[in-house]
Amino acid sequence: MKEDWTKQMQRKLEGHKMVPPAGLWEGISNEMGLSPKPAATKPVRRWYWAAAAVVLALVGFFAFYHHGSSEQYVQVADASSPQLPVQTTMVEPSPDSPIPTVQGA
Amino acid sequence: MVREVVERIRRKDQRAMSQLYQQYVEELSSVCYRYVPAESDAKEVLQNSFVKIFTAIPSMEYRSEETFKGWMKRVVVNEALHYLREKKELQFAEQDVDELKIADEEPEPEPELIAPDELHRLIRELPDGYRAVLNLYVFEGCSHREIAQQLGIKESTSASQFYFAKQRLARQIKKLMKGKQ
Repeated sequence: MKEDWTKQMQRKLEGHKMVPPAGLWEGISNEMGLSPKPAATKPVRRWYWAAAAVVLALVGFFAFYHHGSSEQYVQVADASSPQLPVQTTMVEPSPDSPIPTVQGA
Repeated sequence: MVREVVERIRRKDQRAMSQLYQQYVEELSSVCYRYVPAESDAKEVLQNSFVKIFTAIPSMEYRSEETFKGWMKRVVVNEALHYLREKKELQFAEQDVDELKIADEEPEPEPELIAPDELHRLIRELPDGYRAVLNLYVFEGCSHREIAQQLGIKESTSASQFYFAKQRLARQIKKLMKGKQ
C-alpha cells in the first residue's frame, strides 16, 4: 500500500529551520530582565587563535627590530676573542660630528 | 549537553537561557511560522513561548533531549493556536465548490521532490483554518477529535477542513512541479 503523501511532507520538514523574527531575543530579554544580547554559542576556532598569535609575533618582532635600529649604536667585538664579553659604550655626538661614534674595548 | 543547560537554567543562569535560545530558536521559528505566517505575529507567539519555556523549566522534569524538544514545540504550537483564536478569530472556510470537483483519482503530489523551504511556503499560504487543521493532523499527529477539542470546532469540521487543505496543497505542489519541468 502506497504511503500517504502527507507523511512524506512531514518527514521533509522534520528539523526545518527558519530565521527568527527580528528583535525576538530583545523582546524576550526585556520581558524577563535578561542581558540584551544572546551569548555566542559557536566556539571560536583554534586557527583564529593561531592566526592571532602569528600576527602578534610579527608585530612584536617588527616593533623590537625597529626600536633596536633606531638606537644608533654598533656592537664591536674582538674577532680574536669571541667568548669575551663585549663592551659597548655610547659616545655622545660632538657638535662637529652629527653621527655618534663608538669606542670598543 | 542540553540536560546541563537545563540544569543551569533552573539555577537562573542567564547565559544558559541564551544558549538554549540559540540552539532551538530556528527550529521553533519554523514551527511557529507554519501556524502564524506574518513576522510580527510570529514574534509575539515566539516571545510568549520562550518566556513560558524559561519560566516552566525549574518545575519540569527533564527526561531526554527528544522529549524536551517535543515539549518546547508543543508550547509554541499551543501559543500559536491561542494567538489565532484570540487575535485572528480563526475562520474555517466552508466547503469550496471548486475544490469538491477535484477528483480523488488524480495522481498524488510528490513533496519529496520539492525543497523544504518551498513546501513550508505553500503551507503558510493556506487559509488560517485549513493551515491550523493540516498542521495539527500531519505534524502534531493529532486525531480529528483532539483537533476539534483544541480549536473548539466539530470533529466533522476538522475532517472536512483537512480534506480541503490537503486538496489545495496537492494542487499547489503539482503546480510548482509543473513550473519546474
